[in-house]
Amino acid sequence: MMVQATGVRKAFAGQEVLRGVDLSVPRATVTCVIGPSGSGKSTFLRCVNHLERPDGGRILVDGEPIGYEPYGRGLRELRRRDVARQRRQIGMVFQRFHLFPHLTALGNIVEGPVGAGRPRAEATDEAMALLDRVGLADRRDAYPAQLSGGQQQRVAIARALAMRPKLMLFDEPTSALDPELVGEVLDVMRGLAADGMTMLVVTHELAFAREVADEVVFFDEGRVLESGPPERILTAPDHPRTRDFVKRVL
Amino acid sequence: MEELPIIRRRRPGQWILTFLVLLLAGALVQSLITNPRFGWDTVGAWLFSRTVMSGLLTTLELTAAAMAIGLVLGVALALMRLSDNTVARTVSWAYIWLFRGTPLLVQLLFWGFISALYPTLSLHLPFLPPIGDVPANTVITTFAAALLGLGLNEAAYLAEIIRAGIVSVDHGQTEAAEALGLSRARTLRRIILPQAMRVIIPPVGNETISMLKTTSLVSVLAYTELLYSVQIVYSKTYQTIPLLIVASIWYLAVTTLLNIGQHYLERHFAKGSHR
Ligand SMILES: Nc1ncnc2c1ncn2[C@@H]1O[C@H](COP(=O)(O)OP(=O)(O)OP(=O)(O)O)[C@@H](O)[C@H]1O
Ligand SMILES: [Mg+2]
Repeated sequence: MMVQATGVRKAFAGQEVLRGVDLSVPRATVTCVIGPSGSGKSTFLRCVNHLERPDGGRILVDGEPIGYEPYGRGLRELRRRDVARQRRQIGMVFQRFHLFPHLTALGNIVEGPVGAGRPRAEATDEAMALLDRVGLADRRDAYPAQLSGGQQQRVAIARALAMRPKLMLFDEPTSALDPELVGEVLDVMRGLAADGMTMLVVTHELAFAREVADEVVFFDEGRVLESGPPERILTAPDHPRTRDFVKRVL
Repeated sequence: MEELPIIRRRRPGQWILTFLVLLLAGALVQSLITNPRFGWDTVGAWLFSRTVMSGLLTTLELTAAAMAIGLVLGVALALMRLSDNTVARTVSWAYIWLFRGTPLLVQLLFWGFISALYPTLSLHLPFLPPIGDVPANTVITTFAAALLGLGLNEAAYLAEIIRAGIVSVDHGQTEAAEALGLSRARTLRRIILPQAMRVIIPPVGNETISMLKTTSLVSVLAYTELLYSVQIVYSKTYQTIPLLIVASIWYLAVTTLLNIGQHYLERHFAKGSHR
């Protein structure tokens, strides 16, 4: 298993947002998380790379507990440096891109590897290959403000891939895009899935989920209400709430 | 549709205003030239004099050194205020409270007369023998007192400017950097500060220009900078106005250079913010 989460709980100011999430992602598979707004999808995804600190339960990525280490009879939080080391193996793509606006497309991509100590020349060669892979080799010197939303998100994906992650997290990567730009980003993600990247994707693109996902997970009120192969969850779910949701979104 | 030529709208108001301003400016220039009491020959005689030049040099030194101290300490104080360490936050808050809350003049005099408070400087920690024992006025010279007074005070103001700059950067930037596994120092240096600069530079430019003239306060320590150097001259020659003009010309000249520098700095840090 690449991701193994058990009983993950998280509350914000007393309000429970995650109430015991169990979820696993096998190696080289794609899991799509769907569910109503506010059901805790983003919060869970952010727990997987410890941007959010879970209150309980545990998350293993490739067998390693994220953000915590065994200590005595319990767990204690890791030092920042060790959390950073873990995060380098987990790529994250945000809904609103969060590219670094003062750096060029190329600069955005090499920043992570150079920060991790790789030689700049090597990182640059690899970044060019990644830009080529997301179809933006000719825009290497463009600043984010000079790129369309779809192009920005593709650079953001290349930036995450530059760390050579073993897991990629996507939080609604196409929700901030104009409809005609969604396709180009999904194409890049399809390519990644075909190359065997392990992916955990929060999305409202049910057609994409149906086509690419190995498993679809339905979140509701901070829990996994049901999960299974896309054909079943998206066409014949067990739960009326899932059925309602799928009907509304499609 | 036929292509129509664009005819510029006339702006008679602007013409009238220009005329009035030119008229007033002309009157001013005429009075500057014809009124002998401005003493332009005296201005010319003193403008590049050795006394004034050395005063100008001191002013420039004090401004640069005080701003340097202020910036280094200001960054540290800003980071302390934003840290999640309660002690660091409180220390920074107290520093800013104290140095912004008392008059700069008092602070300058305090450093100038510190040898009256502490004739010798040594560090006494509990249970340890005292460390060092030196006469205060060999360490805190007049120059050091002037620098401490200006620099430590400036740090309090710059800390708040830098803090405002840092918090103006979208939190998503920090998260993106964290998600890449960048260290905290690198995130600050490569991601946050370059973006904060756009907010920080204009008020820091303001502070620098203000500091240029604030240095004249160190005359209370009998330290001779630009303004004090001309005051010494006119207290003997009674050519008050011409000598004040000499000082003003230099303040204006340096301010102009600072403005130009600020323009280029702003342009540098605006990278990526335009289409
Ligand atoms: N930092 C925070 N502080 C307080 N409340 C938060 C915080 N982050 C999320 N929440 C709350 O937690 C709940 C779940 O949020 P989350 O963003 O995980 O939902 P989501 O399933 O991703 O929704 P959406 O589809 O709208 O993105 C929401 O009610 C939200 O208001
Ligand atoms: Mg969300």
